[in-house]
Amino acid sequence: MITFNSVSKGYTNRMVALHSVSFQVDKGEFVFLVGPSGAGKSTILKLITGEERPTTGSVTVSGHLLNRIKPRQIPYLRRNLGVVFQDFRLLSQKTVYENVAFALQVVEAPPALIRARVPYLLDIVGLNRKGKAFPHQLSGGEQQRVGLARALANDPVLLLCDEPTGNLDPETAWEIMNLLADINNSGTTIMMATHAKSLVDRMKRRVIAIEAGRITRDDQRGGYS
Amino acid sequence: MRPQTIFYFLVETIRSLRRNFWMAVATIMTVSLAMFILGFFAALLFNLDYIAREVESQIEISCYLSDAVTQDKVSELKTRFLQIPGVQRADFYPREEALEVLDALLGAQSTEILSGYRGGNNPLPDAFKIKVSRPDQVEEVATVLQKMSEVEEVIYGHNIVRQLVNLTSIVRIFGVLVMMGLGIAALFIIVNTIRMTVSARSREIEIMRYVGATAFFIRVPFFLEGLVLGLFGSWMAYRLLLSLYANAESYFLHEMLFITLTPAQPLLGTLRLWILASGALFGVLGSMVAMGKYLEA
Ligand SMILES: Nc1ncnc2c1ncn2[C@@H]1O[C@H](COP(=O)(O)OP(=O)(O)O)[C@@H](O)[C@H]1O
Ligand SMILES: [Mg+2]
Repeated sequence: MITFNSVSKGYTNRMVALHSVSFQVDKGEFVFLVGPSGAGKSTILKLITGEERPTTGSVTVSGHLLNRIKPRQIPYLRRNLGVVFQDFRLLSQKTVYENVAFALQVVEAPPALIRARVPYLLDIVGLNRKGKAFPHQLSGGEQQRVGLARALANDPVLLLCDEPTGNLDPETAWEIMNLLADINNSGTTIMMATHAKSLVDRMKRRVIAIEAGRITRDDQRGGYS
Repeated sequence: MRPQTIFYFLVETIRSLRRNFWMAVATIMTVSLAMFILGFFAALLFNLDYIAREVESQIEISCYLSDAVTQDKVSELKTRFLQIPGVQRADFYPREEALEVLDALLGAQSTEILSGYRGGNNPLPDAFKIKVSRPDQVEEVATVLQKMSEVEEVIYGHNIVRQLVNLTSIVRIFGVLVMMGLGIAALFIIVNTIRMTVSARSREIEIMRYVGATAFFIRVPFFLEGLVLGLFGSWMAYRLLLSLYANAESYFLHEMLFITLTPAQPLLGTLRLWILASGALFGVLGSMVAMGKYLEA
């Protein structure tokens, strides 16, 4: 699903964010990416979405070598990926329903499919009664559920989460984790950057630890540290 | 493309225009002003050329003969005039005819006054009316004529043509400068307006990119917005120009006896095409500049 082969990433300001990072993620895996702030977690996720390109080394995502991908192909790659952010990134003037439908509209999905799929997605994240609400009327956990429903809209094979519980209290964070576990159980590969130690320890999934741009540990059933 | 995609584009375009309503109004006004002045100068230049050509075609040299020239020399003189380079026609204008014209000009009570001058007492000189093939030859030909011993005096509307030509080129230079200045201003304000829309919708654009909307899909509403601003502004400019021209045309027709404007058509038909096309171009160019980094995928 994902292969990083000796990937280094330097930003234009001569800041080297990643040093020769290599790992592989198989289909159906749930992988935590842990490490202190500034370690390079988000950079890894951005290399997978094609937002950033590796300086050296190669990044392959579901068979596509991203080093060589043409800018015009990136949108089609992204339709196979879902992305969830720490700050939810919802559209405040749109309702919950519209926020999720938006992801389908802009890839020109047929209206009939949108009408069928949005309620289904809201059902998965447990928000089928909140379709008409606006984001500011929801709790943080509910907002993140909307973000999750949107990320799943195009039925991605891979879900990337960048500190999805960073803005949530531990209780709500745990609910979101369970939701992610369910989504993973239904076959979606998940990669989640976080520094929430207790969540990682409780989940007992694969952990890739990264510090100052280098992988320091890669445990199949690890804890945070 | 799906019908609902087109619908989406239209809705988004209208939403943007409404969100920045006053900015859109200001933009349309500016574009309209720029396009109006552009059209105004184009029409002005066209008419100056037209009038210059009219005047040029009317210019003739009056060449008065000295009394020593007798009637039997007239046809020989005509041949010599026609041999001067640049001369197209040379028509003899006898003193009797000049007197008739004077008579007609002075009116009824003059016939008595003038009767004393008829026959051998006619004080007016014989003359030739000479036409040149190109207006810039007028002076040259006049100089040659002046030097001939048979010629008493040469009169022509010198300077009129030169002044008209000078005026036209001044207007042309000035017009180009003004048009360039206003063109830049119009482009600038379009860019600014669309930039505001882009930044108001940066969150939407970001999400569209994450969920895999194509660059084309993301850009279209902004292009449409630019197109609407440019086209609407230039259309207003054209309407204004059209009504102004109709007024000017009838004013010249009724109040200015010697100068008429070229008819509104086909001049304004051509101008409409140019004005609308430049408006559309400005709009699309403006949105391209405004989107800048969003032009990449
Ligand atoms: N666009 C960028 N330009 C320059 N430096 C960046 C950019 N993005 C991240 N960095 C730097 O790269 C390093 C890794 O950042 P990041 O991947 O965001 O870390 P993390 O997500 O683990 O906190 C940091 O030192 C950060 O300052
Ligand atoms: Mg980060």
